[in-house]
Amino acid sequence: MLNIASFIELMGAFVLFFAILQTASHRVDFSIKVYSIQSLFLSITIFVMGIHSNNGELYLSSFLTFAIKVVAIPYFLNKVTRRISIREKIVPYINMTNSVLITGAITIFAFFITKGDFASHEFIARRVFPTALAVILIGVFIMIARKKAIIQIIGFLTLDNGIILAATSITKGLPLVVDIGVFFDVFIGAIMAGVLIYRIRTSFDSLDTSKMSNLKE
Amino acid sequence: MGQTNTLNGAVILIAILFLFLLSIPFIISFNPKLSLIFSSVIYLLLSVFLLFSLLYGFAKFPLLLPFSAQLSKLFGLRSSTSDHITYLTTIPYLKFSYLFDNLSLFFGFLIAFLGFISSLYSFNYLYEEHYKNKSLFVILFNGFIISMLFVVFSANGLSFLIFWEIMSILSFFLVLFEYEKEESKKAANLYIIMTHIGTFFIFLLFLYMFMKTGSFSFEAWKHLGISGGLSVAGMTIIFILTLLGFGMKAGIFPLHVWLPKAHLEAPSSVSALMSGIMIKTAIYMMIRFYFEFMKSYGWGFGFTILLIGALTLIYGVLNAGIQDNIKRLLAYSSMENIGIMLMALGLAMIFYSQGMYLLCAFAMMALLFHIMNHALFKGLLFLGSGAIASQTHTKDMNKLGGLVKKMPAASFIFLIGVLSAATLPPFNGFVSEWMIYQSLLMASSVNIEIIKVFTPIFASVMALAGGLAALAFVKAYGISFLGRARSQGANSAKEPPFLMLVSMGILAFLCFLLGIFSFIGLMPINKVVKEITNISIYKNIAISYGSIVTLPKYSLGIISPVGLLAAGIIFMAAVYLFIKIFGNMKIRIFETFACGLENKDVYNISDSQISKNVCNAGNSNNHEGNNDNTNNDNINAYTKINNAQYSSTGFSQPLRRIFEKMYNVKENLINEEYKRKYFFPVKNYIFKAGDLFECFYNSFASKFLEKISKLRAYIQGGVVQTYIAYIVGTLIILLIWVSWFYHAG
Repeated sequence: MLNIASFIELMGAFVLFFAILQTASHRVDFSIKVYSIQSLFLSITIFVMGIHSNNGELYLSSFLTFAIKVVAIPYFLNKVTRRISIREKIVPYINMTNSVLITGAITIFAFFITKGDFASHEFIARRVFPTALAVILIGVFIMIARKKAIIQIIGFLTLDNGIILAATSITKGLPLVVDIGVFFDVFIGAIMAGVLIYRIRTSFDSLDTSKMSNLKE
Repeated sequence: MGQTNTLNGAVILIAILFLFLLSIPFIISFNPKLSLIFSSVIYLLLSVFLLFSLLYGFAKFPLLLPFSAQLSKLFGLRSSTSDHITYLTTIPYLKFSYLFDNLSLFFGFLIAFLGFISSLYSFNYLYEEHYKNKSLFVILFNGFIISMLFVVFSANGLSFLIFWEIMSILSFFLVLFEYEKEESKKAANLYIIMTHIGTFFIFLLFLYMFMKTGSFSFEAWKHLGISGGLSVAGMTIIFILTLLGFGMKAGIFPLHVWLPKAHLEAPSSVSALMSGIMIKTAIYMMIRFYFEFMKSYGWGFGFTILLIGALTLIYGVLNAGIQDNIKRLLAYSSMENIGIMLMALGLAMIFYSQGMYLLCAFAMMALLFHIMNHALFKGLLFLGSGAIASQTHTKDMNKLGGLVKKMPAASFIFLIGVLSAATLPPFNGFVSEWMIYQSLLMASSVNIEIIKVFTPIFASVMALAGGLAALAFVKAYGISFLGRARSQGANSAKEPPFLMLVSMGILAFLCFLLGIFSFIGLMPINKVVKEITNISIYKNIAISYGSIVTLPKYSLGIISPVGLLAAGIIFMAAVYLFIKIFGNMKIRIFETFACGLENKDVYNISDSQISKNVCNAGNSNNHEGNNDNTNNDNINAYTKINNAQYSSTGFSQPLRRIFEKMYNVKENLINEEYKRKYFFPVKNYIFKAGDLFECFYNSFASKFLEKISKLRAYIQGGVVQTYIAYIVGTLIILLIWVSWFYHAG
């Protein structure tokens, strides 16, 4: 019997799955595609939560997620990558196999630390919160373990997806003003990061952030 | 204790009067000469007043003025029934309270007296050395002396610390007085760093005492000592912190590094004050802590002090022997004397812990007498070195020589100081060191095996140090005053001005006076000793004809300085008569003997030519204007020969070779020109005598800093990912913390 809470959890699990898939990605355009699909599942999750809690604001939030994260940001990132013609592979500090294993450990850790009574009021779907936490940690992990600046942006966006998932799962949706503010923030952040990547590319001839340590001193 | 010293209104009035008088030199500092004359008069008055009140107590002051009570109320001063003057502030625990007991009066007297001497000396010295900002010197100098006075009279931990810091900082600025010189900056930096490390330990010490008593006043701390409220561990903490904190200022063995540098760089009248009395304020606080704030401790503390004193002594004297700079030599000699004082202090503590109060009083008397004597003769020597430096413009003994003919009066006065410092009779250094020897020998009557075993070792260390000190001072006097001039500066030296001679002469006279009639000096000291140990031993040791006896109960030695002088005079007369009768008394006037070198007659040149050209060896190529001189080469050859006299570096070479491991000496012989490798090569001999421990500290500090910077480079790699990882690491740790400690139960 598939009740609605299980369905939300399933959608959350898909978000987590694409975050893990993100760490296994070898190519930048594939990473952007994965991010786009992950955001699609996020928007579905929020939409279903809106059905469940009968909260009109969540529909709007879901629509904004779809518009910005599934369509606008991937479009923009694709444009940037095409413009600076990144054809190199993703250069990791930690290789793909180990990365996937570590994301597994992160997920276990996230479930482990949230096993107690975390918040007094009821959850819509109890197991979405540890999933969201795992997505946050994996996003940060991507930022740490990859050298290319564009992948770090994708890591940051993954992290942001995790935060939104966690926020909606705990609080039944943020106030709409905050929501719109966060979306706007992320959108502007992504655009600025894209511009920055372009600048980095032109002045360093590479997107490898490990080469930026020359800037010290 | 202190009944005779109960303060009355008259004393408070006098104190206020002196405060006003002491501010006058600051106000008129725009005229340095006038200000220094004023300050010397005021310090003389103050020292007489302090000596008088030390000898006869405050009760003798008959001028009880009717309005003194109102005056003291006006200034917020409060004299309780005890011997304190207290100035209350609104800040909690901060009370400016002052204590006038015999110990602080004794030290205050020494400070005021030495202040009088050095301001008299500075009157001429400032203009001889051509210092630029003389007014600044006057302000710093007077502030330094006054802050030292406040340090010894403070009776509250916090106010003590305030004045202690003022003293340290003012002396720092005085060390930095010639701030254009790179060495001055280095010395001053080292000094301020080390003295602040010392102050850090003093802070810890005072905080510990505050934790124990809940008060910063010395009176409460004294009650703590009397009530015996300290455990052995507590006393050990106090002992170690006192040793580290005040030992830094005193320059005890491993913490002495700042001392030779700072004394070298300060103006001479300031070095005289620093060496003469400032480093002894640390000994003063050690006496306060070990005899007033701590009671009934074991003999181990005293033995530790004795051991450190012996190490300080031997290290100081070994380094004094090899120095070429006359002020550096004197500074290391100060370190040696601090060692002697610490040995006396350690002995007094051992006797005190064993309940042998007679011996304790004797050792304490020897200690205080040596403090007084060292202040006199080391003050004299530093002032004398200043006189030399101001006349010859060098402190390097390898460039001095022949000064005895250029400045006969100054060299005679300096000779007295040298003889005192080399502990020879009939001068004061001998008497006090003899007393310390006696108390050391009497330590064999202590019923503890270790002390019995170590006593002869310490005695032999002291004997060795005495011999080495004599060597160092023979070098100091012989190389700089005898022989022929080694440089133009030494050749053109003149007698220093009148007031410099007078101020040094007063000290020299006192060295002689206290060496012959030592009981004059022991009289005020007896008052101090009586206050500390409740025993008056003056009658026991000073019998008629000016002789000093060790205590009759432990009769080991008896000495009569007057008798020694008489014996010396008789001996000299006998030798003179012997030579007169049997010897060849033909007097031949000839050029100064310079170790078998040829004299100027060989070169057929006149005195005026020599004084014009002498001693430019080394830079002998600057004779463009002397083309008319036919025998230029002769003069140059002669000047080179003068430099080939037995030098200071050569004199100390045996010592350097024997104790090679104790020094950090760098010697190099460099060929200047390779073309003339075989025919009269020009060679340059470079000699540098550094301090072994300074080298050690430097290498330690550089290694430590290297480690730190490597660690920093490792942590701050400049890679973006690392910084994110730090954030995440913190987040994860916080998450674990929250989930385990807040939601586990």
